[in-house]
Amino acid sequence: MAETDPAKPSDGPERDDFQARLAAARERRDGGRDTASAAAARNTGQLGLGFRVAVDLLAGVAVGTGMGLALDRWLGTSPWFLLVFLALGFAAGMMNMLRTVRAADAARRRIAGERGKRE
Amino acid sequence: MASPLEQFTIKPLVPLSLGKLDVSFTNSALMMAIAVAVIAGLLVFSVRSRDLVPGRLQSVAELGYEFIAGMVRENVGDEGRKYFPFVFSVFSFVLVGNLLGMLPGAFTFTSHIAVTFALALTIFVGITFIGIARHGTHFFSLFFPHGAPIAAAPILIPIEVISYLSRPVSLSVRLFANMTVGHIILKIFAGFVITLGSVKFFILPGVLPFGMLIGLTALEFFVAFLQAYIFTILSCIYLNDAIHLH
Repeated sequence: MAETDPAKPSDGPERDDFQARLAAARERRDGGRDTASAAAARNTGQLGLGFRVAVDLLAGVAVGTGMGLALDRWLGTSPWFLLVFLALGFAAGMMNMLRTVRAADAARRRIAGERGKRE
Repeated sequence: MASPLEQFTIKPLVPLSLGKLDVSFTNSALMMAIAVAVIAGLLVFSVRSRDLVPGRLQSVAELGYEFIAGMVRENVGDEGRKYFPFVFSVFSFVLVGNLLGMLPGAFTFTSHIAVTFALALTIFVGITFIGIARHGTHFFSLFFPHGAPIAAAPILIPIEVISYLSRPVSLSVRLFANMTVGHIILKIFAGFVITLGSVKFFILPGVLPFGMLIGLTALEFFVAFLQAYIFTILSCIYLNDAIHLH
């Protein structure tokens, strides 16, 4: 099963991947700015991006919870600061996620744009 | 079958204590020392000949240099040039740590949150100091989104501060979780090969997980590179934020 039918055209995603790599290689050769974030978007794929986003949310909530607990312990106001900072931490996590996704999205669009220009 | 978590045990090799503090030289510390020795050895040894047309080792060193120099230039700009040695050290330390962990029986120090968090915290504190040194109190404008109404400040500033403080957490958790999960999966599949391969029938049932194991090993090498890359590029992006403030 190692060899594939030569008559069969290659799959869409594989082709796209190749085109992206080719564009990146040309970009590098031409001395243009192959942005590293664009490379990141190309390399990590959907699963990697999903994991990154999950960690972003988790980190925000974890820091918020930690700060809330610390403030409560210090001021003896349990559970009020925890409740407030849990919500703030969640919001911060959402903000982190949004930024990661936006950066990945912009990078992806930049790659697509560059590819469009060339063809 | 041995526990898949056994590979992460810290074993003191040379027991040392500083007062009540346990500062034993552990297997983790040994691997870090080896990583530093490998990096230093590779860089010093490979560029010794200073060939115009680089040999194999020399091109590895040059490739690494150019890769990180390009990354710093793209993400931080010309002001980032003087932080290149720092970024390069971080990248090579994490990368070699990840790759050394791929040697059979070796300890992966990047699979410990204590190590990755200490690394991320050093980067985070360092970058924060760089930002404050360059911009003074103006640095704190980072915590207020440009153009937002002043009335929103009581909510937005805590959120931005938490978001900023969560950077070292996400940076370290990402690296540690990827390395830990990868090595656990490798160990579990290796266990499958043994248990299925020793079933009465034949060794055939063991072939399937063995094939998977080969694929997973290749994937794990890729992850080792990718995570070192992500760790470094995020450090660059944070450095850029501190230098250019949005």
